[in-house]
Amino acid sequence: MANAPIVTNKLKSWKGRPLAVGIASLLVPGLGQWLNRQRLKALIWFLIPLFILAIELGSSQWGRYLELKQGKVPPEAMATAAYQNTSATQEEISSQSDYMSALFGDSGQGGQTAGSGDPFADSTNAQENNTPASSGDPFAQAAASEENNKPGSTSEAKGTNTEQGNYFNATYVYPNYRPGEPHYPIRDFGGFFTRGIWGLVTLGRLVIDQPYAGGYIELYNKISPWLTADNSIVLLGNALICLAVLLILGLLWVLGAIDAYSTRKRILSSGQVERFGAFWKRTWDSLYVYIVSAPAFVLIIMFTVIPIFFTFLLAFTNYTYKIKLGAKLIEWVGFGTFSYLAVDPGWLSIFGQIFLWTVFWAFMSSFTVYALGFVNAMIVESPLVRYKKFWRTIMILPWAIPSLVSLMMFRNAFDKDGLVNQFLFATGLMEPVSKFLFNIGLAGQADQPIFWFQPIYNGKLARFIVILVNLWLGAPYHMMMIIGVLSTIPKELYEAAAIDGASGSQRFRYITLPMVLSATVPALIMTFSFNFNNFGAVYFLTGGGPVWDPAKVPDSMRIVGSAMPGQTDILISWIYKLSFTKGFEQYNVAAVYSIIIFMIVGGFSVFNLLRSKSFREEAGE
Amino acid sequence: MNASIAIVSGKLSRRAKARRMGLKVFQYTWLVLTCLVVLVPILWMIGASFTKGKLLSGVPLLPNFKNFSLEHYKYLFTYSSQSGARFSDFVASFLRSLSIAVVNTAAVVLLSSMTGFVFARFRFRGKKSLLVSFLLLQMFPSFMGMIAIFMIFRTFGWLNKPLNLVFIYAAGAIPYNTYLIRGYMRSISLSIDEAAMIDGASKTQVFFKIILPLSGSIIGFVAVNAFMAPWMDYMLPNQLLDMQNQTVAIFLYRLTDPFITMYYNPLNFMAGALLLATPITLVQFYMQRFIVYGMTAGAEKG
Repeated sequence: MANAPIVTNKLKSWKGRPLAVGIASLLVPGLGQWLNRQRLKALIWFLIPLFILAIELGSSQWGRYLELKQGKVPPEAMATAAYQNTSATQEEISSQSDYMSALFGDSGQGGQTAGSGDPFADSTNAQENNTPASSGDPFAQAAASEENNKPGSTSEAKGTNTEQGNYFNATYVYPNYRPGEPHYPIRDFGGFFTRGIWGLVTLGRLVIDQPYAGGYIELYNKISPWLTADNSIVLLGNALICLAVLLILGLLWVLGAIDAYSTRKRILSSGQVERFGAFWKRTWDSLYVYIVSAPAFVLIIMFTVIPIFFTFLLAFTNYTYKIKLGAKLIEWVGFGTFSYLAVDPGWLSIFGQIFLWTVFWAFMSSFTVYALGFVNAMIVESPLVRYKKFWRTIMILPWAIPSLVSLMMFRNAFDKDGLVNQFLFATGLMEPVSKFLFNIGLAGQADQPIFWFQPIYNGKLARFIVILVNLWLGAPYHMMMIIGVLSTIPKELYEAAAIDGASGSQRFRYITLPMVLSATVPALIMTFSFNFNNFGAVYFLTGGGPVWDPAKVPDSMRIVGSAMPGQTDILISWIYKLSFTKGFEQYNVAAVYSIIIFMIVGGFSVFNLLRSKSFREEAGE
Repeated sequence: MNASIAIVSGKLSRRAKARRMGLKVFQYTWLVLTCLVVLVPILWMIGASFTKGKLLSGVPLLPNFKNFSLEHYKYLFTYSSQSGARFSDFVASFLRSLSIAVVNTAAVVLLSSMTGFVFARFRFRGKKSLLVSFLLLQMFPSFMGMIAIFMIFRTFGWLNKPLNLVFIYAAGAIPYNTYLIRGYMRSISLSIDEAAMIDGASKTQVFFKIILPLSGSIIGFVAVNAFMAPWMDYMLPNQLLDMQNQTVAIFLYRLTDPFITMYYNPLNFMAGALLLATPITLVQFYMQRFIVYGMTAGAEKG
């Protein structure tokens, strides 16, 4: 506001300044509203910190921490393991790691098969053939945690725990902090928010069988939660949920300050205090939008935004297949993964090759599909062609068939015994075709029959076929779209051009082409970004094969094992392999590459959106 | 187009006639070849589904009734991995996918039309940045969030419950559909709402009684897409559901994966794929009107 508000004498003190009121509300939500003489409103905003406090205290054990601090805890309730002489060795820890993954699969109902690289299959299986230590009643261990404190090897202690365990007389055991030893009160007693932040910062500190504060860390302990091993992934997930809640509450908090500021300004200019009823009606009207779209937003935040942030965070950790959750902790490595991938020549060269092929694939597949769709549309819509509907119905068939089905059908058609080879043999074309493919350099050898997707030397051929099959799948869609656009071009344009003596090709070049292009450029860009991430077209057709020539795999890439990309793998399908190849998961690398893809494709689509007409019209809203 | 030349020039010269004839021959040849390329793989698939055995090499190129057999269809309708199951594995997984698709359609149509309405009709803070972030969200490789999604599902105890996949499908589909529906609703005249409001209709009534019925064609497009998407999803069910709760896409994939020897049979796959593709293809053809409409709308409005 340019004009200075009329300041009455009564409100001239510092308390009357809008800024002061706003800051007051920022410090204590509701205080500004109170100063504005809006009691009810003040109460509502004051509920925010109360709410945060209630969640924190309700989910925490801070009360017990106070007892501990004040020395009110009887010594027999403290954990008292004399673990100094029996520190768990690294071997012991790793031998436990099998059932530790049960941490992650506790709700699986078993029966999952091992096929197809299921990353979590291993956890469900683990639960079935579990050792007594974690099978059955998880409380059993907690119940006898006092017994746990006796010296002796950890596995023995566990064995006895299970037998003597009794859920009903289980009692809480207090951690026994001793000076000079590490202790983490936030981890042991913290509530939803404090523990969430602690988890985000540290990603956990204690793993199974580790001696800590007079006890041994266990897989799971319901009664004394501080004895439960830290699972970095669970901590990270909880931290994200906690941050989301904090963000929403924080937003309301800040809104309160802004409201106090603007209300005071209005009071100064009008001299009147708004009644709560008026405020409520005003808010309801402006909140209508948010209430109606709330279900959609909640879904999106839960199942899109949080997973995205989660993945984003994984890129800054060292989470790979080497880390068994519960037995080993994930650590923050900052930009370590990024810089390693950017510097290491092996990774860099493979990534570069895959990236170039992805760009080439995205470009070629979009271009060929569009061009063929265009030609088909022009021919079907040509005035010389009769029975248009008949032709059109057949030609859009590939579009109507679900793509997964057609891709897997083609995978069989290009099999050694598949349709294509059979056809080539039957027509006697096998020899010339095979020789031709060899001569132009697509195939590495003139095999008969042709192995389309398998041998290492046929990488180029497989890439070519992937583009060809995509053409079969994708052209009809573009044909339909272009037929739709053609019908919107006014007939008078052609008639006028004909009167001016334009030939058929001139009319195509100066009328049809520009009209269709300008109408379909956004769709073309979308096709490009779709194909850039067209996982199915590669994965279901070739599975990424043929495999990368083992002689050309750089030494630094050998650790990825079977997560090595195949010769037709595009970035997205390689990322899939990196994150879901059983036994070779490289979550952090996959996350880094996802971020790169996200930036490229996201940039493309935002560019597309910003230049679209309907979006620009909304400028200023 | 070419007809208009005839109108203008009145009479065609002989040369032009010959050119026209050549063009016609070329066009028909093109059409016939294209249709062959389209139809041959499909016919081969049909042929394979009626062939005895489990080898692709046994599939004849030309119709041959020596190897004719219905065993693959029989397998699909009778084989069940659990004894005493009411349906065969294929039928059960088909029904599961069907229920997911139906629920997903309802959820996506309702939620994205509501958000679309809000974005089309109201001004509010952060609208534009929300639109951009909606679009950006679509671009993240969805399965990269799998670990987080798995965790969320585990926390809520939702694993192995096929219908819960709808939450993920809907969350993924809402942003783009919101965008499409918003574009359509913006073209509906504001004066209609205003008239209704003057007559005392609330905003919600305006939405359900006026705007929604008027947006039929775009809603149809969104509904078809939402119905189609879950059938062919492979990744989410593969990670979040166990064998007893698989969807039909996973069932089919198992039949073509040579590493799963217990199920591998490409000819069973052909039969199953045909059974699955036929209804879906029919639905696509039946709803073609909406789809062509939505495609051009999507193309123009980007």
